[in-house]
Amino acid sequence: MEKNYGLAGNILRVNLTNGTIEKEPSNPSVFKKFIGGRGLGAWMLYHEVPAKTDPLGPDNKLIFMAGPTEGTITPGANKITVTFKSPLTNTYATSLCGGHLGPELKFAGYDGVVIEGKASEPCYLWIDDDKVRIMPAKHLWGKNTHETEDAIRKELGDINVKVAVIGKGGENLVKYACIQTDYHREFGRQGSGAVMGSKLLKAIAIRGTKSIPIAEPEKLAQLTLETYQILANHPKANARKKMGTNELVDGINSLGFMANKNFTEGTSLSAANITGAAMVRDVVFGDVSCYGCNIVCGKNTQVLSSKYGKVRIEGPEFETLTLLGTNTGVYDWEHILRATQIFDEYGVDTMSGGSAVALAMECYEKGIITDEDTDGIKLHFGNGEALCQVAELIGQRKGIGAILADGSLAAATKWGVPELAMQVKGSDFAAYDPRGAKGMGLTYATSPKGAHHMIAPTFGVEIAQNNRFSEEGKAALVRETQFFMAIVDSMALCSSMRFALDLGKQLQFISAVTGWDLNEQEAMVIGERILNVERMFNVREGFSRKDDTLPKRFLEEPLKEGSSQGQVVNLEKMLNEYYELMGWNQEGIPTAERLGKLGICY
Amino acid sequence: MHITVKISSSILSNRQGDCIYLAEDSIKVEELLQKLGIDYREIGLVLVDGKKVDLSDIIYHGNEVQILPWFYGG
Ligand code: SF4
Repeated sequence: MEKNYGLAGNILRVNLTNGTIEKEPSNPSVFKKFIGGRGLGAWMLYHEVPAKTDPLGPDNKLIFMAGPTEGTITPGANKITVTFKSPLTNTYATSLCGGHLGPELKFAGYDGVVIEGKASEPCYLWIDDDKVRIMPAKHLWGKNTHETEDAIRKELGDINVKVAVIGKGGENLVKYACIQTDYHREFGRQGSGAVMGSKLLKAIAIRGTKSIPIAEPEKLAQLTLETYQILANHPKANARKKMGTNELVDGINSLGFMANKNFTEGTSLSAANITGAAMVRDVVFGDVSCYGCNIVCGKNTQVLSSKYGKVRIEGPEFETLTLLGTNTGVYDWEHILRATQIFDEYGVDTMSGGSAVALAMECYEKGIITDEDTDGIKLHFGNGEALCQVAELIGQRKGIGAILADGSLAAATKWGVPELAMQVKGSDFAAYDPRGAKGMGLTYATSPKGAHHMIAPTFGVEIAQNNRFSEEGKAALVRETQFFMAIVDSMALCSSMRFALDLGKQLQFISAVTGWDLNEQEAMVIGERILNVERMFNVREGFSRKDDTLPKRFLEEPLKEGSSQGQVVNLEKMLNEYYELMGWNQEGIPTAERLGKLGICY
Repeated sequence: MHITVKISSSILSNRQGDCIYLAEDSIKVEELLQKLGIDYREIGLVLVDGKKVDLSDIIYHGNEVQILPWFYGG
């Protein structure tokens, strides 16, 4: 029998309603069609979660899926995805998380875990190689994320068990609650933690001791060595090693397209306090890495004495720093670190959390909400103490936090100003203001999970090509980048590996691990197939061109200052071109003909 | 006569922050980088008065130069 190199061999299916646990053999021909991770998760979600499923009901699923290179020595092959229908956006959603969970799942003998149904009382899943059990977790319900990880390791008597948990944010169904692992690594953004909370599943603990079969071990070792050498000498990788993703702050701020004060500004002089270099100087005390990575971009940080006592966390990385910091007008470490810590402990997404607070601050400054709505909290931009207070209320779903816990769009709609929510399809923007890199406008508008930068982070190419203010050619750039990123995500690679690995190099790794012989053209077809399956899910939910849009602020209000001054996004032109290139009709619906060419159908 | 140079904090050649380069009259971008001890491989973009320039372009006194890294999403 042909050996399934790169695959652990099984997918675990756990039904929490009736307590059944089944192992299904991994099907290599489906993996070859979607690679794994994000791609395979999308395909399974489309087939297994019917239209109009309640995202917080028992019929929604959490599909955890690893990639074929994951858990091998392939550099940065550690990202596991969870795919589900989002309670925040009602769209398809996928979220990637680094750390050590994905490799451990493969070591336990599984390429994926599908969680179905709803438990009758709090529980956690304990995967110990072949022994899989549903354990009681009443005693863990109500604990924060860090306490839960510690308690489970203690209970299982093994500090090396890898644990994914939800905090009180997930229990309270905050619509952008995360699942957290390794204390500070998150499946963030679209509310995987709320879905897990709705199933009364507090955690998944994994211990794996098996190995993964490799097609060509020597070739893999050689490729890995070469990649480590490239990364060790790569200036960008070295900047990340030193400052994490916060090496971006200075540049994005100088180019005038960094989220500031709910995107009312694109730059701030105060950002000088929180650049990557300032972080190293002021708060960094150590480094943290995911499995199999020599970039080591995670930074341990601390403020030794503050009104909150000693605050010690991992991070914040760039998106957290900007959306919790600059976007709320807060430019000091004390409050940014403390707000990050609060959201991490509740298990709530820092990006959407920050965006929700920024929205409330703009509404407060404009008199749309008052002290009566905030229980007296003075929600001015720049009030770090208020940021921390509201972060806590969101996790608890209390006071104004109960409104913001449903997402910025729901809150802004309730307050009669939906246009002030900086979101697409209900999901909040990342830090890059699309007025300063027009391709990012199309990326956000067409992303299958609402505004998300990593679906196609085109701004680097746009800056390098000196055409960031032009809409010309951006449809093709976004489309190609979307396909490329779908492959990276499905391989389970960290996106920072792009510094060393172009598509050709990535395919060499796939070949060395699995023995699959894919050329670049075939790989891009897989990328396109994945994007189309994600789109098919959303079309079935009723999404179309009307939803592929941006807030009025980006379309009509030019930035007033800085290097991106005067810019707005002309989205319609890019959208027409993008749909045409994708072979979709002008309503953004994939045609049967195009789907047929990709080997899929509705 | 001088050229103001703003060096992004993620340029690692030990030259972070802003500096003033005292210029005779004009200087090529490439030479300026050399004089400041910045490895050109770290540079993604050089802007002069907000506009992108090439390594071979000339900078004149009074110009403001921004030296920025390569950008990848994060
Ligand atoms: S670059 Fe950072 S996020 Fe990526 S694998 Fe390495 S440590 Fe993890």
